[in-house]
Amino acid sequence: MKSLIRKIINLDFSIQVRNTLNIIPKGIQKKVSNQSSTSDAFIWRTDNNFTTKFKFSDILKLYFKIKKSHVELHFYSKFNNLITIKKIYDLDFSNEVVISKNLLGGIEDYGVFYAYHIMDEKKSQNISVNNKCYTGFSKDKEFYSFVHGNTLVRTFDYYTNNQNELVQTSFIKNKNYLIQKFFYSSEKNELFFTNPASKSVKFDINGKNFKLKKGHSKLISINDNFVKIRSNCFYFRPIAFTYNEKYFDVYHC
Amino acid sequence: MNFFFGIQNNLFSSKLEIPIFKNDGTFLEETILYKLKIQDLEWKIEIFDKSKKNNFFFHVNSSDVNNNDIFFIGRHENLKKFKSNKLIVLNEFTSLVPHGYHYRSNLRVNINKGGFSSYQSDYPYKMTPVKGSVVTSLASVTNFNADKNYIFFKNIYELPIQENFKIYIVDLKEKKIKTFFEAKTNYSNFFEIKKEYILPEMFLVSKNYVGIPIYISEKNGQISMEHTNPPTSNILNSDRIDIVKKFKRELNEIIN
Repeated sequence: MKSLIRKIINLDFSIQVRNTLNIIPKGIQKKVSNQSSTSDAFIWRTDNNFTTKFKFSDILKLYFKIKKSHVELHFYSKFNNLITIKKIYDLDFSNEVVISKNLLGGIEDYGVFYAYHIMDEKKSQNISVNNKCYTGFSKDKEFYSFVHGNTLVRTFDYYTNNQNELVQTSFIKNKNYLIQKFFYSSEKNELFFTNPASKSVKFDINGKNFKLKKGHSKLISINDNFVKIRSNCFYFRPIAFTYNEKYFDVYHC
Repeated sequence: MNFFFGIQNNLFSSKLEIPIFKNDGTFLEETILYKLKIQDLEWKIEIFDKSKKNNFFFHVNSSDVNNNDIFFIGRHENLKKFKSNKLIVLNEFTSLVPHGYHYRSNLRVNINKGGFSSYQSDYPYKMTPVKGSVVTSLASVTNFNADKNYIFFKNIYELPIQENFKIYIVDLKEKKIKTFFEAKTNYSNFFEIKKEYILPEMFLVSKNYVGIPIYISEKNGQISMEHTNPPTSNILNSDRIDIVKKFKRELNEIIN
């Protein structure tokens, strides 16, 4: 009986009800497979002369001594269309990939990518890794301003080869997030949002409404000193790009 | 409870914006910004709320930032619990809550040439009693093509002491120490990293004390600043603490 109740209260719909009513809310689906690779939704930008660099550790080698593995980068457009999958072999302890428009078939835009560590040979031991590594952004293709990964967004199950989103939502916009940063009017500020959930995310920024479908991302310019985000999604936080004359900065909010 | 900090030297200055509200929008009434410094082997506390801005932030200018002093927010009544011989939790205003976010200040570093970089920073109280080792990949957020790369290693330790400890650069392939820096507790330590160490096999390993490893790189006035995530954040296994301990042991054997 107890296990049946547990099953019912952990159904997708039930979690949304719990989150809506704020009764034992659940922000993230904790039942990640024992054999899985989880990734943040990392930003790529090739718009406005940006080039992106992704730096990542060989997590399987460092912590599990697995020598035969590769990393798959799944690139999506801002509308969640799969652009390409890049497989990277011969991994070192630390690795990097430059994401230019050439890598993405000439696309000058922005979107997200997911990084999965894939074992080349099946293992019986429990191995569940999480890529929260680092993306850098450059205007001159030489010097990159870096920001770390933050949220568990999409998980790849080694058993089933399925990918699932982990972040949960509610039916109404009942999650408030006031950014602990003062945005100066003398600078240009952009906030980059990605939808980390499997459901649509409805949100407003200081009262202005937006919507992101599953996997979508959006770059939004802001002119306010203070930013309050109201959404129906847990862990819905942007990455900020701040520009001042010829310099720019990127950071998590 | 979180502490906030900055850095100041002949290359970089920094300023802090410490919010008076939680991320969920709850404002903290009647709060005061306090500064803590070490004097005569004691923690000395003083009020520092002289420039509250728009009732949203405490603003700490670069002229008030140095490598020793740290900041926290609280209320007058919290001072009854204050101890000069050890940092303790004085309030829970800035503590992490379930399903919540870290309470962070904006630490913005400027270089004389004009560039800037910031990160949402905090030093959680729970790190202050910890003695141990930090391990981080040197190649993660450094720039090989930069003019200069630096490590900014912040330690806040519960006791009012400035004790020296070593931070090593270790080659994991050769299992060798490549170089080391002399750091001290309760200080914003700052070292230049030579280009020859910006390689995939190089790891930074601290001995005896933990801290937050923040990397700063600079080229033509543009700067990048970011901290690295702890190794446990890379693993979701239930035994991840043991897995990371094993990995750290491998590196600690090289420095011991």
